[in-house]
Amino acid sequence: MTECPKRIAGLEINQVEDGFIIYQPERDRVHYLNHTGVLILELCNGRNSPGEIARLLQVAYALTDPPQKEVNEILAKIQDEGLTQ
Amino acid sequence: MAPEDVLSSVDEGRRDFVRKLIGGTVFAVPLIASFSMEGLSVDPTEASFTANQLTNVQVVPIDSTKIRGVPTFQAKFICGTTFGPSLARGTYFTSINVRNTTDDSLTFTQKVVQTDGSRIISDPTDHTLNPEAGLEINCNGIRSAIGASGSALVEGFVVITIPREKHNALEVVAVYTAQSA
Repeated sequence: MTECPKRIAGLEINQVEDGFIIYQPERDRVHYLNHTGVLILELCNGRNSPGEIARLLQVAYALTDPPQKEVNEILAKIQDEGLTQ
Repeated sequence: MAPEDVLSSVDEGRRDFVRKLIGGTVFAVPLIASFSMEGLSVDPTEASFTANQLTNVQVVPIDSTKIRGVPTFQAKFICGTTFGPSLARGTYFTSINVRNTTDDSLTFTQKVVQTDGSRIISDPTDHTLNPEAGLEINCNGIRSAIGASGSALVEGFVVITIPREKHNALEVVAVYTAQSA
């Protein structure tokens, strides 16, 4: 996984009833993310490591512990889908 | 560290969006469900539309209910082209995304029940998902299950059942796309 993932440029995020839709024209794929998934994608700006992203989620949602496992899993999926580099 | 520090960790132009994103929500396990636009098409020649031509996309998480004690997901499907009168003129696509959320492999059973016209019920089909793996049931697969060819509208339910002891093991999300005629 990239040390500090950075989302690719030009992604258009559209809110729908229960989450967010991102259309990726170069791959002709559509992605649905829930609000936590989109927040993680927003934190992928090339400056935050996976550990920092988990810590920021802990702060944002007042969690007891950083959700590192969940963050690592979705970062891997987001990278596999080519949404980050 | 305060929530304001979270905002300072995102790009400046995105802070208003992130502020609204965090406000009033609680943590949910992050989720991404991805699918190919090509896979949504009833016919490959219809797969060439662009995002600007999409008139509506809806993502609907499907909850399980117990039917005769068996955890069951019932996802509505609408596939094909209609000129009315029961639906607006246009072409409708359904993509049902299924994910095994556990660390064990999981076998689920799928049936397709057509609610229009011939009211066909397909034979049950078993699918096995590796740990954390997912698959997509799209209009092509649904048509194949009920033996419907062409691009005429078909409607019904994809019914998914899982073993009782695995009642929390599956996540199901239906994605509905409509393109106006």
